[in-house]
Order: sequence, then C-alpha cells, then structure tokens
Amino acid sequence: MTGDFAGALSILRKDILIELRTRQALLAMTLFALLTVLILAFAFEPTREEVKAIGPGLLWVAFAFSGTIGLEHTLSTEREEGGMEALLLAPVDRGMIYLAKAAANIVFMTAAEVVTLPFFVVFYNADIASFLPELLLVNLLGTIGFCAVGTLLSVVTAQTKMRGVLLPVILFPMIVPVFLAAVEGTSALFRGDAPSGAIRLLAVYDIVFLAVGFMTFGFVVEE
Amino acid sequence: MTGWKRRAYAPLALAAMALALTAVTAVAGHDTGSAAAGYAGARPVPANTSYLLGAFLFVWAGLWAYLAALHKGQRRLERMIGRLEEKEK
Amino acid sequence: MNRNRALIDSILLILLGALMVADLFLIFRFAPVERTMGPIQKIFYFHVPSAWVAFLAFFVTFLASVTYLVTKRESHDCVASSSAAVGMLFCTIVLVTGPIWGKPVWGIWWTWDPRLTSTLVLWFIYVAYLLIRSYLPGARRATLSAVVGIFGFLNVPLVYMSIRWWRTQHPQPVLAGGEGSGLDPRMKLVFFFSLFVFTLLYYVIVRLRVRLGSLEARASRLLEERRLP
Repeated sequence: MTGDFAGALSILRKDILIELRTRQALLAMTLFALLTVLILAFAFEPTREEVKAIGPGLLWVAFAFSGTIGLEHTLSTEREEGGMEALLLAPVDRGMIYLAKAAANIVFMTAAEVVTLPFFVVFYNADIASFLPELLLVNLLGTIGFCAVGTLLSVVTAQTKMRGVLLPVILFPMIVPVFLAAVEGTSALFRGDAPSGAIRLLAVYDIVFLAVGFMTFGFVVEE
Repeated sequence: MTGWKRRAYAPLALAAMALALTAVTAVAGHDTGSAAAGYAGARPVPANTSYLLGAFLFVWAGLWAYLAALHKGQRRLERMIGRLEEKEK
Repeated sequence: MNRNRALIDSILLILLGALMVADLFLIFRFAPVERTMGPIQKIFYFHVPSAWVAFLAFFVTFLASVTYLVTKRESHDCVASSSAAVGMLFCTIVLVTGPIWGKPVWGIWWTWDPRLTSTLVLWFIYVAYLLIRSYLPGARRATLSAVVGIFGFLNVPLVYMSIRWWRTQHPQPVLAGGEGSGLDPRMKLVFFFSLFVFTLLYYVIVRLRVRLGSLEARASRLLEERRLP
C-alpha cells in the first residue's frame, strides 16, 4: 500500500515535471480560458451589477472548456510515446495510477483557473477580494469533481474511433451537478451568502466519483 | 450482421416523428392563451382528442412494427445459422 | 428449444398488440375526461408510464453493466445496451409528450423544474452512452461502455439533487394540482393498466434484442470459422 502511494506520487511528480519543462498543456488551457472570458465579455457587455449575476456562470464556462482541453492533452502525450503501456507495467495499483492522473489534471486545471481569475477581475470590474478563500475552495472542489469524472472518461473516449471529439459530449452532461453547484456557490459568494449547500454537494460528488473511478480504472486501461 | 438492427430503427424514427408532428398540430390548433392565463390551469383547455388518439396510435404502430422487424430478423438469422451449421457437418 | 422460444415470442407479440389496442381503448373511451384540463390530460397515461420505463431501463443498464464487469459474460453487455436504447426511446417519448401537455395546462412548453431538467440531462447522458458505444472497437466495447453506464447512472441522483437545490433558490412556476392528486378510480385503473402494458412492452423489446444480439454473435463466429481454414 505504501509502495502504491509512493508510485502514485512519482507518477504525479513526473507529470508535473514534464509539464513544467514543456508548458504545452498549461499554456493552451490558460489561453483558452482567457479567450473564453474575453469572448463572453464581447457577447454580453455586462455592467458591474450584471457581472454579479452572470459572472459565476461565465467563469465556469471558461473553466470547463479549458479543462476539457487539458484532459485531451494529458492523454495524447501518454499515447504518443507509448507512455501508457509503460505506466501500466509499473508495479502500482491501477486505482492509484488513476488517482495520480486525476491529481495531475487537478493541478493543471487549478493553475489555469488561478491565472484566469485576475483577468476576470480586471475585464469585468468584479470584486472578489472579500471572499477569495471561499471562492478558491469552491473552485477547487468543482475542479476535483470535474477531473475525477474527466480523467476516467478521457481514457474511455481516447479509445473510440473519434478520439477526443466525443469527450465533451459525454463529459458535459455528467458534470451538470458540478457545474450547477459551482456556479450557484460562486453566485452565493457574489451575493454575500455562505456557499455551504454548494460545498456539501460538491464534496459528495467528489468522493463518489473519485471512489468509482478508483474502482473502475483497472477495467478501462486493461489491454 | 447488424443490418437488421439498423433497419429496425426506421419505424422508431417514424413513430417519434409522427408523435411530434401530430401532437404539435393538436396543441397549436387551439388558442392556449398567454402564459399568464394558462399558468395554473385556471380555465378548461380544449384539445383535439382525435389528434391525440392519432399520435398515440402512430407510436404504438411504430413500436409494434419495430418488434415485428426484430422478430423477423431473428428468424432469418436462425435459419442462416442452421444452414451454416449444416455445412459444418 | 429454439422452436419453443420462437413460439413464445410470437405469442408475446400478438398478446402485446392486443393489450396495446386495449390500452388505447381504455384511455379514450373508459377513462373520464378530466374536468379542468380536458382531453389533454390523457397524455398522462402515456407520459408517466414512459418515464417509469425509462428509469427502469437505465437502472437495468446500470445493473447489467456492473454484472458484466464482474462476470464478463457477453449476454450481460447485450442486456445493458438493449436496455439503454429502449430507455432512450421512452425518455424521448417523455420529453416530447411533456411539453405538449405543459403548453395548454401550464401555458409554457418548458420550465426548468427539477424533474424536467433531470430527464433532459439523463437523455443526453444516454445518447452519449450509445454514441460512444457505437464508436468503440469491438474488443473493448463491452467493458468500456459498462464503465460509462455505471458513471451515467450514479449521476442520476446527484443531477436531481443539484437541480432541485438550485431551483429552490428561484421562484417556481405554479405546479399545484399535480398529477397524483385525487385520481378518479377509473383513471387509476387505466393508469395502472397502461403502466403494465408499457412495462411488458419494455420487456419484450429487450428480450427480442438480446436474443438477436446473441444470434448475431453466433452467426459471426460461424462465419469466422468458415473463413479460417
């Protein structure tokens, strides 16, 4: 068990190291999130009051899109160099490989979100300073849920003939609870309320799907 | 091999379309009033019973045709398998 | 044994046809016309049983997916996929009949009510399930779609919870006097009859499709064998 844990940690470290050297996924994800925020600003031209109403939804549209890009990317690197086979040969429990992969996705997505937030504040004149810790907590829980489902489904869709194209088609309906709870939680923060309901729902979602992903990942990657 | 299943989808699609078309005409034919008037079902709303019956009948017919197609395909396959097994011997 | 099975299937088909016609007769002749809603209420006898069958079908898909992963038996995968396809069909019927009823009664086609929204999300999940299925390579299809089937169904309660909780933050359209309140006994009878007919219909479709699936597998195996030597 400790060996599994160490193995998972080294997989995570490997993914982060590669990313820090190449910066491919992070750059693409962050730019895409920023562009989405920008395009939605053109589309709605919100006033300061309107930002409170549509801002949370807008942020999460950007996060979900850029997260999808990240999921597709982490998988394509593993496939290109036959990395997945090598990974499966490692004496690490398959469930732990899943957790490591999900953790890597969570780290990248969170990084892209953290970069996007200041731009959101500037472009939309939004005031988030007063509830920043809570906002980050809601974001993190939402990101965990998104990646828990996304990591597993991206491995499934990568094996279809259409490759990544099908990922959003199956991922978006599945993350409806994450999306709703994260948006509603962020809206509550903008209104000055506590997002306790959202946090509870997100926590349940995260635990359920991390557990199911842990149990089923072995079936998804078996050769 | 899967041709049978795919062909059997045709009646399903037909039934769904018929349902949508018939039912939309059934409702659209009447002045259902503005959203405010209709909200709590405050007043009796006329609806064309024969249109409704037609829609339901279409769906039933489509589904039954689908079943019959499946059944027929099954019998054909069975005969084919029988012939193949005959040749084996 | 084969002949017996075909005979049972034929009998089921004829019986089902008769029951379906009887159901229509009961709905339009026997059941009384609802006082406030008028004849449009008769959609209820189609709408609610379809919803029941859709949920049942998705639940069966979930169960069959789990048992497939445990046993790796082809027939379980066949049950899962057939049930998902039939569930999709009935889910579509629910989503089409709902607005048709809602427009004259509520005055609006659609409302973001938890039940409506969850059904729509469910529909999308199983469309994706069937789509992914059709694009997976044959050898991996059963296992991978079983995992998707499990993920999809576990989402159902969470989707419902999240939407209900999200909606209660906003004023809801008036849904008072819902379907279940104070049904006439004749209406109740017709409703349960309809429920029975729909469930039987579901069973027969899945039964025939599973049988067809196993026959197809056998036929393609036989064809392979012939090609090999």
